[in-house]
Amino acid sequence: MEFKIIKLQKEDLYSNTSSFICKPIHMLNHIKMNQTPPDTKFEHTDIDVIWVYKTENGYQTLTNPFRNNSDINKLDKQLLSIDTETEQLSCIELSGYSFLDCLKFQLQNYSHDLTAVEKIYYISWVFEDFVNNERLSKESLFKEIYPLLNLQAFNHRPEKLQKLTRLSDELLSYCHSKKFSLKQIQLISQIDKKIMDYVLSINTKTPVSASIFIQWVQTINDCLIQYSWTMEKFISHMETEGFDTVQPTSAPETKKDTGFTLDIALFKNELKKLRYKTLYDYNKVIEEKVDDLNLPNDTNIKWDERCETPGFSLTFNVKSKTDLNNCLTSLKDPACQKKLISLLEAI
Amino acid sequence: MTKQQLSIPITAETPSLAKKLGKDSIIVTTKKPMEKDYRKGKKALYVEEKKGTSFDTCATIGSEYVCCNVKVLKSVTNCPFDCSYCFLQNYLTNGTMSAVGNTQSLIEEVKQRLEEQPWRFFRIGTWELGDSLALEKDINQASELIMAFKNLPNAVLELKTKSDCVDTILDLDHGNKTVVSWSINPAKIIDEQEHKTASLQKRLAAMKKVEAAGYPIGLHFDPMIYYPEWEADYHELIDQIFDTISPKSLAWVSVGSLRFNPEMKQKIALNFPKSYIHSQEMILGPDGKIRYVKPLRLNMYKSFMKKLNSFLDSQTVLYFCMERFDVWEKILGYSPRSIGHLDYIFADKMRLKYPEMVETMGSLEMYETHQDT
Repeated sequence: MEFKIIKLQKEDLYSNTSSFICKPIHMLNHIKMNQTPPDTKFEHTDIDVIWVYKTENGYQTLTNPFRNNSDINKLDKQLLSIDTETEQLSCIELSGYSFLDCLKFQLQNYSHDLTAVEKIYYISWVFEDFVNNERLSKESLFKEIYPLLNLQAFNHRPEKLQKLTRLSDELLSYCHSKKFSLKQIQLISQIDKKIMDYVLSINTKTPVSASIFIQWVQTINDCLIQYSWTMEKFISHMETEGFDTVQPTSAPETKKDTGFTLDIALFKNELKKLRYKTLYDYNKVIEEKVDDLNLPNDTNIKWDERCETPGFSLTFNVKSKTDLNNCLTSLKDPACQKKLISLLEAI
Repeated sequence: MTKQQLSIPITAETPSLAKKLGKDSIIVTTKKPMEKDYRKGKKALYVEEKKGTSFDTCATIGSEYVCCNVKVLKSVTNCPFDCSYCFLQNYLTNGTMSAVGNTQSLIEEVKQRLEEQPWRFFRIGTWELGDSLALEKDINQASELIMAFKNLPNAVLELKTKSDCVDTILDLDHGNKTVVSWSINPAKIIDEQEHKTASLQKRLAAMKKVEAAGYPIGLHFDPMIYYPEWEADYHELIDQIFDTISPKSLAWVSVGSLRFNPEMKQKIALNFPKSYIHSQEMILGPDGKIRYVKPLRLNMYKSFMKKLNSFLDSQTVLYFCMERFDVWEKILGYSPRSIGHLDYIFADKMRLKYPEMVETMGSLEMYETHQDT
């Protein structure tokens, strides 16, 4: 069974696009969007609540419950019909069950399978279809539904969760594919959409890991604040530094195959240089001083590149008497000693 | 606890704080309610009994960074102000603003602590978890402490504030045993980051009043905040202060740069979306705090201290708050050899400048031996 993230665009079902639906049931279903939309074949008239489920490869999927037949809108009828056409659909009547009962039943069975993104969509759906229509109270939502999704932390701040539902589909799809945690999604939700789009555009050319993704959006966000830059100014800066390959609109596709990995490495370095300009310049000076020492090979000088802890460690890798003599001779050289003192004062 | 059992008069008729907070909200209680949201907690003041130990050492004590070893009396919790960099937003498990009502119990605890080390000069502040004077009009706590400290040997009370709430303490007979100090920044930082606090002009006016009342004054340029115009603004701030008060009125001056726990970065971004302070060039130090990179700090301190030092006399204690020994060396040309040593320097200088503050002078060795107590 394939799983896909689905976006709530009811009209899309009828327009044969590749969009998806956000209802959690259908997130777990692979729906063939190009099926001929059936019209109104579904004709139950005597039920209070209907629960639809199917089992496939060990997975159970469920449609949302309806109070009565009149609540079944065109979309729902279509979906049910699509499911019906798979000939694996069963319908049961659950007269007397409340929406809350049905939601809880559904979550008790499936919440552990939901990614953070799916939880976000789920809550969005519940809000839109149930809470906003006064079919479910907020209190019930917080007390009985949120715990089943481990969302108790949002009880007092539902708007925070709702904010997450407004993130772009592209971003949420990425977060879903990388199995972002709610905390990670919350973290990036505070960041300007333009930054997300920019990094997502890089990701489409050269996929980056979730940790790199988060690190980059945060770093770019920090840079914009640090320098009081707009995103346009940032992109312009990166272009000046030779990073037009990652510019969202002008990046030639061919770069993807020719040395793009190297570009990404340089890109990371440029970001670091921009974010920590003082440290970057400072470490350059130290590196020059170290190079100027002309110490024997197999000599290693390490210092705190954060520039916080003073001092350095000097190590010699000695394998023979000659090596040892070379080291000692170097250290005895007054010019070298002077440079070492200068280095120490600088760090 | 009833109002009568409290040593402070809180009446429904004079809730000026309640007015300020926009609530009818001074509540005398034996148990304050749990409020996880530190901002919501600022909307009401609960006055409660002292529970457990209130006397402590400043929470920022550490080994790699020099701490001044000031002692704190946790007499207020949370604060009506809303500074973007305030650690309370990530520290308080219960954000309900409260003050200890029975001040006498605080005084008793201080007395007991002083008796344990009679050789030691104690600086004791009430600003650890809140502002020493912001609530004073309503709780009268600082006034009671001032009067009590006047008669305590070898101890000085430090009231640190970002307010201008000094009128109620001006006529008190403090006996030079209370230092009124301000955490202070350029007007731009006050306006943009220190929300709901007194403006720079109001703080300066309050400083002038306190100087006229004969109180020793403390200045805390902490946190110094980096922004493009920092240098000119901090220099101007020094001029503005010494146009207002005499450097001779100063007991001590501290300088420190912005620093916070890593979790604070997100808190600041979330609680203060317009703030820029958390996104400057900062690194995680060995003490677990994020702070400006050292070259930047050194640059700021060098310029600021040069200007500041031109005003200060040798009896005023000038010190860094939570800075490295090597930073002391590079900026001031010396560093205390230990935390105990800095504590000793305070005692020694205060003994010379305000003889009534320090009656018994312990040795440097004693200060160093007991620096962790």
